[in-house]
Amino acid sequence: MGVKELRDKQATIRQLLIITDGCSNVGEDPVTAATQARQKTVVVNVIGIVDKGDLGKQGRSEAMSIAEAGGGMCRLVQAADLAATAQMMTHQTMQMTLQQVVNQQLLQVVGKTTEDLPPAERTKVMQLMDKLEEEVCLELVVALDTSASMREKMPLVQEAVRDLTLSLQAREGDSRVAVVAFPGNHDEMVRVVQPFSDQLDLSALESVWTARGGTPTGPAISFATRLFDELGRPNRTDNDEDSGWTDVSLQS
Amino acid sequence: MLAAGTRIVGKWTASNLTVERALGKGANGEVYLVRGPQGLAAMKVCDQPQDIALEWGVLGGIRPTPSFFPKPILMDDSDAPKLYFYLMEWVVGQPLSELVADLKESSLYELMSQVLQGLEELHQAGYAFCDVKAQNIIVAMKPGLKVRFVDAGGVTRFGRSVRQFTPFSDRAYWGMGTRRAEPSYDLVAFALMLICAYVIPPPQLTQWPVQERKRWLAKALRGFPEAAYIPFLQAILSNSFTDAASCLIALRRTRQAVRPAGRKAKRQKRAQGRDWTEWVMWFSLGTTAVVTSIALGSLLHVFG
Repeated sequence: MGVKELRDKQATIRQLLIITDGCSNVGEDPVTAATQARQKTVVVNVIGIVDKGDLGKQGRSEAMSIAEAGGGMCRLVQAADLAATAQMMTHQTMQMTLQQVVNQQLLQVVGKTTEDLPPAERTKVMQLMDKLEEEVCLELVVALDTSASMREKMPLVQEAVRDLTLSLQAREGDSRVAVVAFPGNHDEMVRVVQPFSDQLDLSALESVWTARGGTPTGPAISFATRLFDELGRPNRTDNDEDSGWTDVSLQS
Repeated sequence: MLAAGTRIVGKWTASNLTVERALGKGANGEVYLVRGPQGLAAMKVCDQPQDIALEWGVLGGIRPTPSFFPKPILMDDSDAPKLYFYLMEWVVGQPLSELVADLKESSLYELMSQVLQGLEELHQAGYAFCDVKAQNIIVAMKPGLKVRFVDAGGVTRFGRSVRQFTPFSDRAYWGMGTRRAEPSYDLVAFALMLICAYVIPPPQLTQWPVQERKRWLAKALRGFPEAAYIPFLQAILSNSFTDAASCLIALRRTRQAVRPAGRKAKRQKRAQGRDWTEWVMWFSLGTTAVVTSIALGSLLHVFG
């Protein structure tokens, strides 16, 4: 049995985290946008805030559909649990992405998934995945719903983003975080609060305030997907579209 | 939750286990007391197989083996019920959170000292605990005070980011440092644990800005019941110690300042001496008075 080494070259995980308390009502369909994001190897996660919002039955089912189409997770939580949830989702989706790749490779090489391995072998594979999760490059866009009903929750949203950045900064691998708000100011549907950076600009984050207008979730997803494209490296080869993962090979 | 009496057969080791009762709930799973071929043991069950695998890797893979954590016994899966689990030594005692209020100064010192020794041992192996909190420190009071650690789910190699943490014992949450696994991360958590064991943080703390959290903490520290340890805890919170060993030395110094053993004994002796002199004084005064009155009495009798 020989899963010994995971070789890693410029591997990057891309995630989009949507924090919303409502249902989209402006622009393109968010589920279609999420499907397109996934095709570009972006995993889409959604946190729906349930307290004092207008996240009705329709909003909840939309949040779940977006996450499903985007290959990510959906959690419906109280605003007070935002920080912990954002942490947990980012970590678990990274784990999930890596596991998909590793399982695929294992199936090809030995015809087994990690769960089929004896526990001792499994521990070795999991430890490698854990190391990879720590070292892989992460690109994350946080898309914040800034419609009027979010006003009261904004301090907790800002705290959650700050806290998530603290965790990402401590990683051994590179982490780049961008923050966008939807709707933006005046007539724009989406506004960049912070472009991709390894540091969080706290003052920029504090300037995020609720705006007038609808909830353009679909346009925000498309906008975020383009942000990843603009960041994209010219020498990247996207050979594994479904997993949100590139250039990893598992040697046996 | 597994009911008492549930039988579990390990798929890989063919171990037969019977659930006795639930022991507790961790961040990522549950712990049960089970009866197996080698007697009673604690069984950790997680939904995610990777959590079981990684924790097992910590308990059984770190060298030298950290003696404060439970000894690992075996790791296995079962098909019905579908479980991923491992077996470890059952650590008997009470969580620090439940008994800290009743501790005398001497026990508190002993407890702090042992926790730091446990951290030092783990740090020597190149790992940080990363989840130092009152629920994870198990204390047995008999025959003597003995500290053990439970829940290795957060244990992280130095230099990596901390993934499993509890906000109140996370220094980054309090705006006092990074979320990277290093000795000082555990030491700050150790001080936070002690302060928050006496003054429980209000749940709405999470909604306050970092500066206000710090103010709350400073106030809680001022109210620490053993005032002599306040400067020591303050020094830890300002990340003054880079390793548990130097923190332990500072703790011993603090203790010596509180209870200067030699001088105290002398003072006691002197106090006892004074008592005795006093007794002699009153005895002689009393005797004198009695003798004088008898003499006076007989004199009056003679003349009367």
